[in-house]
Amino acid sequence: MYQRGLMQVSWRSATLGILTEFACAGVLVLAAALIALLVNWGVR
Amino acid sequence: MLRPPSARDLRAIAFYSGNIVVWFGVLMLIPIGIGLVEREWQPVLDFATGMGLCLAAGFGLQLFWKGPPPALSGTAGLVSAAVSWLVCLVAGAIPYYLTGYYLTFLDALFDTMSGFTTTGLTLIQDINHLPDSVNTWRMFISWLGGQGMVVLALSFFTRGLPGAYKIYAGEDRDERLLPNVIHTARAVWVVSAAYLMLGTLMAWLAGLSIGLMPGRAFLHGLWMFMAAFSTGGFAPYGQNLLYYHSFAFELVMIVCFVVGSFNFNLHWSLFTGNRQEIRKNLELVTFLITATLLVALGTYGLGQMSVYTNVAGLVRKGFLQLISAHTTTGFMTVYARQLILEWGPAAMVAIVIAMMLGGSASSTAGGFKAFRVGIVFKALVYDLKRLLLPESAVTVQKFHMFRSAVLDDRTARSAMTIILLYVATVAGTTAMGALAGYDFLPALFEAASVTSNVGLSAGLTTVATPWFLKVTYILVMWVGRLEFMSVFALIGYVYAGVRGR
Repeated sequence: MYQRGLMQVSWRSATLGILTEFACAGVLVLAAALIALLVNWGVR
Repeated sequence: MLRPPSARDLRAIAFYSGNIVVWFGVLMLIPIGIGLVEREWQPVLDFATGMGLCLAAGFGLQLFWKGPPPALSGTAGLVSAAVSWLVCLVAGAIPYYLTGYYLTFLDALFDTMSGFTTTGLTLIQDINHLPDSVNTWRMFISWLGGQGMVVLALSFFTRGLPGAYKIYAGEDRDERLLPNVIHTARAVWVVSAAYLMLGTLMAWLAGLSIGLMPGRAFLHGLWMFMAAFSTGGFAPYGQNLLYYHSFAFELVMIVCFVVGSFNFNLHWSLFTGNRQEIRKNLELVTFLITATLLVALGTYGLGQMSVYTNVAGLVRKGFLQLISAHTTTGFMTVYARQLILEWGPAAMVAIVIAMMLGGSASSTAGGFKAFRVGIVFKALVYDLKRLLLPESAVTVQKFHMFRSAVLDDRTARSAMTIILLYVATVAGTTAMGALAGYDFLPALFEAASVTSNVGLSAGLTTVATPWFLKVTYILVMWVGRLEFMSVFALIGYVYAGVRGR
């Protein structure tokens, strides 16, 4: 799996791979929004 | 004892460096093409001159080797990477200087190195009125530097050169996605091209949503994607990302630069269907933990200082700057002086630590790299266990990075060495800033930014910066990007060469 050839990357696995990475970045943004919400609520 | 380089080594280094410089010159056809379409005749002439000089220098260097391409020793490979960078630096600065947007050649060199190393600091003049061809070249060299100039040369322009992998490793790349280095380099570009298309499309749509004309929205989308995915941080306007005043645009950029800071091995694992890797990967887990902790610390500090009075402000200004620092991108949605004057101590500590930690190994990001932070943390935990627990309770320490491995002393020492070198470089660069008359905090901030190739600025990097500090920053950006070893190999080669004669 790790050293599969270049031609063996399917559209499906590439699309799912990209979506997984986007989801990972999305989790960070959501975590930041949650932290901001808590700080905004807690500090004031 | 250092072995002086042989005449054969020097000729082989010249051959490979020349090869890379030739293709770097050919790439100047891109801004030339944009300039012709936009009828920017003067920049077209400047880039054509730069291309001619690259071709002359590259072919000239290749004349030193006759016969089939040579094999390279490990040290010669490292030196070839370092030399290629230096020659491309000078070659890339020539068209910049000819455009007339730089006061001195040193400033043009600074911007070229800033682009290649994906730092993003700039000394360009009249940035808000640059020709499209110049902006395209600025973003393109940042993207090129992020993906690796050597990777590009290997993937498209070479035919199985035997010294290829040695130079490749010299550019701080150690991923071997596929058994053959040329195929690996091409795989890196397949991943990058997929993201280039998708990221440009998303940024184009975001640009349209804020009222840019379709053609301009496309160019801005392309430029900003290249600056984001390469974790470069250049922008076509002086206000940087703040220019767009759009949360949608900022969100697209955050996704692009966060994904751009991931390890290429991780991209490849996910592209080939190994999605479990994202849960287990030591580097990614470390990055997510440190990012969350630093965002919490920074946001708390900003909340205490009452700098931003709502959640949107904390996310769009606080989080964006912090994650931009952690991924070593350098996009800004605040002005440089605001960081020093308004952010307060806790947020400033968070952002400086974020810059130093950096993104992932084998990515476009700089800094310590999350992998090394994770390894050092695991080594620390292991040592504490050995100290506190009975001997029978202490087993080997394992980590997962694309495969499970036992953490040995050599891996931990190697990670610690690079981290110490980074810290020492930041300390030295801060001292140079202090010698130039700047206060400690701005000097430290700028030092962390250049060493980790971030590009956030506390306002020190201007055309008025003393020349010796500009030279220091150029060298430190280079050393930080190549992660010391290639540069040490070059210094060792020069030293041994001088001493041996």
